[in-house]
Amino acid sequence: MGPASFAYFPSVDLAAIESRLAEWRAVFPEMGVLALFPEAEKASIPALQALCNRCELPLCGAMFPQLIYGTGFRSSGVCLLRFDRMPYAALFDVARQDAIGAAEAAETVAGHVGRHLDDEEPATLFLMLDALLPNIGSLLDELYLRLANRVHYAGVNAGSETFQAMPCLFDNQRIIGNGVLALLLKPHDGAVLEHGYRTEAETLPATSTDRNRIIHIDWRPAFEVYQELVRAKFGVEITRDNFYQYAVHFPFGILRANHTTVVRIPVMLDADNALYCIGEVPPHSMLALLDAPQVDSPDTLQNLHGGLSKLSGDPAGRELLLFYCAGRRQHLGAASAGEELAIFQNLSQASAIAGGLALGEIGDTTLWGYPLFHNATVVTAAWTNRT
Amino acid sequence: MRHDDVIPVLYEMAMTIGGEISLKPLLTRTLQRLLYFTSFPAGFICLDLSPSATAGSACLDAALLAAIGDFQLIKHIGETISLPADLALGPAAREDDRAALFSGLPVSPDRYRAFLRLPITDIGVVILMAPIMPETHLPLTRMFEPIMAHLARAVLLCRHYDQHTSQLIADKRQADQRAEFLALHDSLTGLPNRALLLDRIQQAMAMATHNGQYGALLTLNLDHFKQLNDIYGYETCDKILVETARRLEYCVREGDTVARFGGDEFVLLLWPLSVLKQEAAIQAEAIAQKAQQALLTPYQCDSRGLLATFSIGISLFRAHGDSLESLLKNAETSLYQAKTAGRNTIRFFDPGIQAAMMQRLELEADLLAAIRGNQLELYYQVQADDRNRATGAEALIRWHHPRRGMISPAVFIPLAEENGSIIEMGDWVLAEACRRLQAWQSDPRLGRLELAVNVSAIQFQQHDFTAKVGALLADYPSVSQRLKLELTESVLLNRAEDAIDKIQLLKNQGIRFSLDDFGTGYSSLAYLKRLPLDQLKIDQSFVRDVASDQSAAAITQTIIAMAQTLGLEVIAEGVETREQLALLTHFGCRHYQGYLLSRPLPLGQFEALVASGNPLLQPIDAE
Repeated sequence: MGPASFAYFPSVDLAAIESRLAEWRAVFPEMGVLALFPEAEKASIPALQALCNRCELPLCGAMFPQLIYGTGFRSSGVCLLRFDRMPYAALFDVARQDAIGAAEAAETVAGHVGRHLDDEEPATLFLMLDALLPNIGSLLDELYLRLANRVHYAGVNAGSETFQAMPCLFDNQRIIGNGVLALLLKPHDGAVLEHGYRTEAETLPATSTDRNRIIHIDWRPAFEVYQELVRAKFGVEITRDNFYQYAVHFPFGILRANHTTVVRIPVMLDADNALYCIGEVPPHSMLALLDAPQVDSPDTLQNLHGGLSKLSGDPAGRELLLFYCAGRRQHLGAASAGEELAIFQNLSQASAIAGGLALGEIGDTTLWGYPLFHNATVVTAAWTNRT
Repeated sequence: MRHDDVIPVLYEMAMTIGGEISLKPLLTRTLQRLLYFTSFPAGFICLDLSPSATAGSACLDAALLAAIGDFQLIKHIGETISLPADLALGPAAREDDRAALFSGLPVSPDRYRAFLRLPITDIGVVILMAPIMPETHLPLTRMFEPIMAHLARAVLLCRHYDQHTSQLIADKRQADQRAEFLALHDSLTGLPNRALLLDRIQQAMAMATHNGQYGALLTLNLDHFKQLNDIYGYETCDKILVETARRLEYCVREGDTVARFGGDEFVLLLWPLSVLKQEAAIQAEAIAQKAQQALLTPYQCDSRGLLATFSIGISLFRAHGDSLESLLKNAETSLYQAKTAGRNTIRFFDPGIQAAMMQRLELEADLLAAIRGNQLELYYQVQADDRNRATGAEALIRWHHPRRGMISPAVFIPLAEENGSIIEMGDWVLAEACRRLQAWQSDPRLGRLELAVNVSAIQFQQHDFTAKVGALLADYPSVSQRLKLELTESVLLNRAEDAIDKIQLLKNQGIRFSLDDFGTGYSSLAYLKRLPLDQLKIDQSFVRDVASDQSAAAITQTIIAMAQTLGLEVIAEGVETREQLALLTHFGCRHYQGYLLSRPLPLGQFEALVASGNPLLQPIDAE
């Protein structure tokens, strides 16, 4: 049995990192690295790039508000995840941030990814995207039109929890924002995603939207309607000042016919009283203000564990990726979120868990389902297929 | 069924469908949203279902217009696929454990077991597919009914829109193609125009640089095009140009270019020719002769056969040392050489012609100044009868150029015809002749002489010609009986009836008419018989050879006999020897002019000649 694929360094200690990389390299000469940085360590990304370039090691990675390692959230250090053999990984800029830009980017990504697919081996297209891209839903639709069932779809949004624009995706040479890092994992059976939000809801039409911006609800400025709804249902007064603190507890749900809900957490307000969400809100979507959003944690984690077992077999003793929505943690509180991590560790009996606090997640709650962009979920996947 | 669960889905589906105007995005977006809402991972939409051509088949043929989620199926979008009737037909249904239905479809193998069928009324069907039936408590089969009805109407509208749009696109493409064609082609003949020819010449020159082969530019131009236009009109000449284009295309080799440069000028690019100059010249000349031959066949215009001749200039080129500009200049020059060589001729470019051409241009400008500046003068060549009595004279124009001296009429008359100044010149000659006749009137010898004036076809065919002559006769009322107008057969080329009317009108005022250069032109007996002429003038080419060439003698004899039959007087021009005169007299010709009697003389000398007498010439009053 070879060395573990995951390594967490509590501080960005380049000497220690170099030493670990050398150990890995000795066993896996064709290896590559996925590096996950917390926002607080973003200044160290260039140093890691320089180190990997010096060692001639392929590198890619992303920056998240915090990291997950084991059962804890980490705001310092760096997580290195080793590919025994570097898969196809590439950074793509999304030049135009509208439906046309999404189609153009999907054409490029699908073109490159398609050349590395043989359709015999199961593959997962794992996407890491800049959370501030407003056209992620369209990008997924367009990718699915082109690649269809040739891959499983999974992914997360990277960036800052402050929602300030900043470069958050990187490879050996570049650190970019407004883009996507595409990883083609082979062989790989995909990821599972769950949120467990209950959906007792009353619906109102989003009468005017622009990508991830809800401008009008029920033909009135979105924030006014949102304020009234929250006040009427929960007796809470949401203002411009306490918006992010409270809004995360009162997300919107876009209802689907299979009784699942796609969650959209409002994260910003603009001067026109429009609400910004992470992820697109399709035009004419019927929105539900999620009524008393109680999260059924045990159920969520059971589903997550069960789904993962169905996908990739028993996760016990394996290394798992885990991404946890930042909005979910804000809603549940740090303690409950940490508890969910511990429960999942306990359920899965994974040998190692690594990931990050994500600003949006990609996948579906069913196997081979239509890939969707979610908020408030937990996403997990086996790092490698069982050999 | 909870309305709160169903209404949001239906609302968004309806809005999605209502937002599309073209069929492909309509079906794709609708399918996307159905998959999104139902969690089915894949699906497709087929329209235009029809029974399969295979007899007894339980399948339908259908147009696959949208597919999502199955990469194998996506490859068949736009094709007609075979659908099991059990899958495609029937009311909306949601069924599991139906893997067999998918076995004949071009989908990922062994993947699907469950499906949701949503008929789009009677025009098509939506099929959503899944390995495992997605959970739902909603009545999917019933709740989408209004959406499918809405979709059916949207399909019809979008098809109509697409048809309209594709027609607009086709129209625009056609218009663009036409504009593109016209940018590079001549609209009348459809031949490449100047721009396209220049491009092809440049390509040929670039290739010639590498392989050393010669090319040639043949410049063709219709002889007397301007006169033809004046005589026949633009419509007829356009027909001639179009027919010329077709004939030239037939003459060249595959790969050569026939272009129209504008007006009556055609240019043939012959490429490639031999690498040897002499051989290349032979090849080019062979094609030029073929073209010349093809163009000699009379043009059928309005049931008339019209004859047109072309002058052809040939300029060889090989890339080295030839600029495009100089090449075109050479081609032009070679055409001028052909023209000056007597038309209906082929000439190669010779750099020596360049200087002559420049002189010609200068001369043209000088001629206009001469007409207005009194540099022209009439000379008079005496005409006599067989008893050597002076009966008249032919007025001949002469030009004393202040620097060049005397310019030959053979040089400046064609120039005047080409630039149109022949009319002004002709008016001056007529007026001068009338003035002279008037001046001679009081002289007993000169006052009996008839004065012949040449009238060009262009001048004669001017609509106001008779009016102008009438005005002159009003100014000089007593001269009409002694004025003789000499016409050539070309006046009959078109509007013969008009010519006959004009001649008759002027004859009524006492003017006599002579047909000049008889025997060299079309010599249409039919017209000759109808023309109210007084005299035929036998061309000097027959007279010159009458004593030495039996054919010339025979033709001359025939002309004289024919004229006698028609009751016309005959005059022979160019008589230089007594032998010629004796023969002509013997044949019955009673009138003559030529160097035997006198060269054309300036007025004073002519008057002196008539007064004092040439040894041959009997004094008029001697009779």
